Amino acid sequence: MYITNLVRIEPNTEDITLYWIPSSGTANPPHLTRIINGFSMNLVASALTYDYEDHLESLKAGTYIACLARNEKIKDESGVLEEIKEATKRCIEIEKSKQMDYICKNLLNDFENSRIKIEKKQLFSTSYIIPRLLNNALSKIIPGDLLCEKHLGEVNAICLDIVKLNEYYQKLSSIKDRREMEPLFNFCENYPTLCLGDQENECSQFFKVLKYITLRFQQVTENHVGIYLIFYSRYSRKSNLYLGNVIDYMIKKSIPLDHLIKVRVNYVTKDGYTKLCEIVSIDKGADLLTLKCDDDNVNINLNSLLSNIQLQQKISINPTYHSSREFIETYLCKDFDKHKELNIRYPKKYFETLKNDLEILKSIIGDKIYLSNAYYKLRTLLEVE
Amino acid sequence: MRILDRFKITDFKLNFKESIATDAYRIIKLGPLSKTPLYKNATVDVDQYKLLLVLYKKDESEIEGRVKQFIKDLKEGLEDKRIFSGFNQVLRTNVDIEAIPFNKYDPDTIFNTFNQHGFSNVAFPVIILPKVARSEYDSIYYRTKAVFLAKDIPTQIVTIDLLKDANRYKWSLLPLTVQIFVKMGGVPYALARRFISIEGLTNVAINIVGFSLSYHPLQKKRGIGFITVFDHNGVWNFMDSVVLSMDKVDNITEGVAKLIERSLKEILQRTATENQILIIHYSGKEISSREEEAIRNAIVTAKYLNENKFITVYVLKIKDSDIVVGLKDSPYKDKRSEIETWYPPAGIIFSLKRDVYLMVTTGYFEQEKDNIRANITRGLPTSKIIARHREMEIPSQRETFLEDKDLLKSVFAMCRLNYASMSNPLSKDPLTIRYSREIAWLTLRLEEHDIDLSKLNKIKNIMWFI
Repeated sequence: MYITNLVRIEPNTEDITLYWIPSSGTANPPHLTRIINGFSMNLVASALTYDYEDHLESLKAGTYIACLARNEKIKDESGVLEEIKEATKRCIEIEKSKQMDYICKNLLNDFENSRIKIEKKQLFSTSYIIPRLLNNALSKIIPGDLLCEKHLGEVNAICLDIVKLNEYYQKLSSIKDRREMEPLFNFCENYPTLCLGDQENECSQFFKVLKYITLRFQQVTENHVGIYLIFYSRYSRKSNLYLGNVIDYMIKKSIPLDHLIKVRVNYVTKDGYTKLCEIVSIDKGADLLTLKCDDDNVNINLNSLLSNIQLQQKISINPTYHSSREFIETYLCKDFDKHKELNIRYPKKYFETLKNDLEILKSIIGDKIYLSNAYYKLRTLLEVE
Repeated sequence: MRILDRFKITDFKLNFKESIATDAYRIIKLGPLSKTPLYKNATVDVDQYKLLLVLYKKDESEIEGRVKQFIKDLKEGLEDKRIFSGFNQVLRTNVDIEAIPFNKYDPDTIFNTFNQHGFSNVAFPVIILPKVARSEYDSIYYRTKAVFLAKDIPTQIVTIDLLKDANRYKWSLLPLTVQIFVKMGGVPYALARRFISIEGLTNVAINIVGFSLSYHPLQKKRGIGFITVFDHNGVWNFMDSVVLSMDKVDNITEGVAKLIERSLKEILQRTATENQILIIHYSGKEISSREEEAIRNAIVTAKYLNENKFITVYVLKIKDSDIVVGLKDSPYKDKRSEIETWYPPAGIIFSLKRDVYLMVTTGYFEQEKDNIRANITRGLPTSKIIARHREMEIPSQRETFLEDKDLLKSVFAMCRLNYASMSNPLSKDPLTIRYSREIAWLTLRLEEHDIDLSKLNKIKNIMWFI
């Protein structure tokens, strides 16, 4: 019997009602989706930029929209359009980017002149578009303080520190007696400074070890057409290695700044590119930090680096490289890489812990996700014979 | 999700007639398959080489003694000849082995030291360097390799760390020797049988083609597309590459089309077999749908240029998967504690959707007389998502005769060829996509110096990147 990290998702109905806005001038699917997902509390959208066809269904390109829960105000096409119009107005009020502001103003104009067409669609509740809608719905359902920082192209992820994890293990009767399955408890007893974060000691102000759970819905059509949640958990280190912070710490601890020479840093240039640079000199007297980026030297005023938060966030130590690692281990936190041991587990141990993680997830998002007239219930890990 | 199949590992073919082995270490007894490439037009030959020249930095602490021992071991082999019996003894060659120091870790200095040696045209450079992260584009490793490659010379880098680590060193001597042999133009071993059966079809050759698009690690507008070509036994044929402007979609389409056309022509020139099947293993972590569209157009364009030949192209996209598979009643137990691991068998294939599969590439497998081994000792097993991209394919003019299982077999078979770590019977990545970064970075580095790798005769015909 094979066990997988796919969670079975059971819809309560065969069909689902969605709304579809075809792709046209201002109703550009990625833009519209961004506005709906960013500024509407009641709707969730997914952009399909191409016509999709497989042996089960065919879908036209456009923006597919569902209600996040039953909502009396949004019961037909005009209710959905009204809600999107409100979201577009919020976009104009809040959005700072000039490009988005322009897009939203044009879109609102088209809404007001009834130039946006909308259509109600009945689809299978396991349609190709559903995992995408569920992924976008998750971003709205997971409480903000539990969502990991999201980088471009990354899926949703929940970050739990030891304090949060402990809360769930105390609160949930289904896992209360299965604490020994969670290796982070033991780890944090052995390396407490790596788990606490934001405290005045060598490791905590630079690193914090977290449980990192990624969530991605996927349609599977073999054997049985269904939606699954790919549920992957690992341990990760959140780092705060802004060079300004590190220099500040070294000055306080009277560690000579020369030890930073040869350390590799990521440097975000004025154009927004990230360059990999090496520290070639640091002169406190002359207030000067020199980086070598490709073949160019970049001079940075040390005082500005320590006092200007925006500049501070542009230069951080890259711990991938040998010289950087050696520096971190010697002067900042000897055990900064220890969390990697947590990820070395046999599948047996992994799945034992994952079952607990699934209980925690259900406690965070509920065991059902509502989309329009349907709900999707989280079941158990998929087993295949 | 359902189980589609479970592939078994293929045997190796070595030197003697009918010499088949499951273990690559049998090369010590049986000898390598060929001292020359198996495809015509190749101008390389292992026997052209008369000398292995070990280059090391003068006055580096402890290094001279280590190099002396390294040369002795290469010449005479280790005490336990089953582990390593000596360079010439394993490969049936007759090269001399010498060492020469250079003054500093500077690529030009190292090259000049090599070049000053009287036999540089028949010498193979083995360079001792400090260990660096492979993820570092500007490291001494890539810079040194590039300087030699620019002169059409392959190299073997050995790290000081390896020379100092007695246990790792001992087990690395044979893979190092085999890698040097490959870079000299030899074929150490191949897969013992054609892994795809095409019964009933005569005069048909199968080519397994690695294809990748990569961005320059520091300059996002620049990129590279490249192709590596292997035959139906996993034997190396050739490589080709093209430089691309990644901010111009037309340039990507045009460049990739040119690359594919050139490669098809080259394949047809190198073989008497009239009809060709290409199975493209395509990877590219940073590739978006825009670039995929460009590749699709390029393949379609290339189709019309070879109408007189029968060519079918299949396209598989291979990427790392976040799906973890465990087997509850796995026979593989922890070696020391005997506790259950739940490791799945390597080679198990699950079908997720039409044309989308999950292949487990690290797990356990049975080897000779129910001996259960694993190509993973700790941590989670790895798996790959393999998606067939029919919209990119050139369909057969006859009825389709390769099934998805056959195509998937090509991926699993290419995981078996792992010259760099011979004790591992199965690599988690197929050889077709495993070295994408090395190839891309070194090709880009050469291009920065106006050198077109595809014009270098020797390099083009060998696996210089392993």
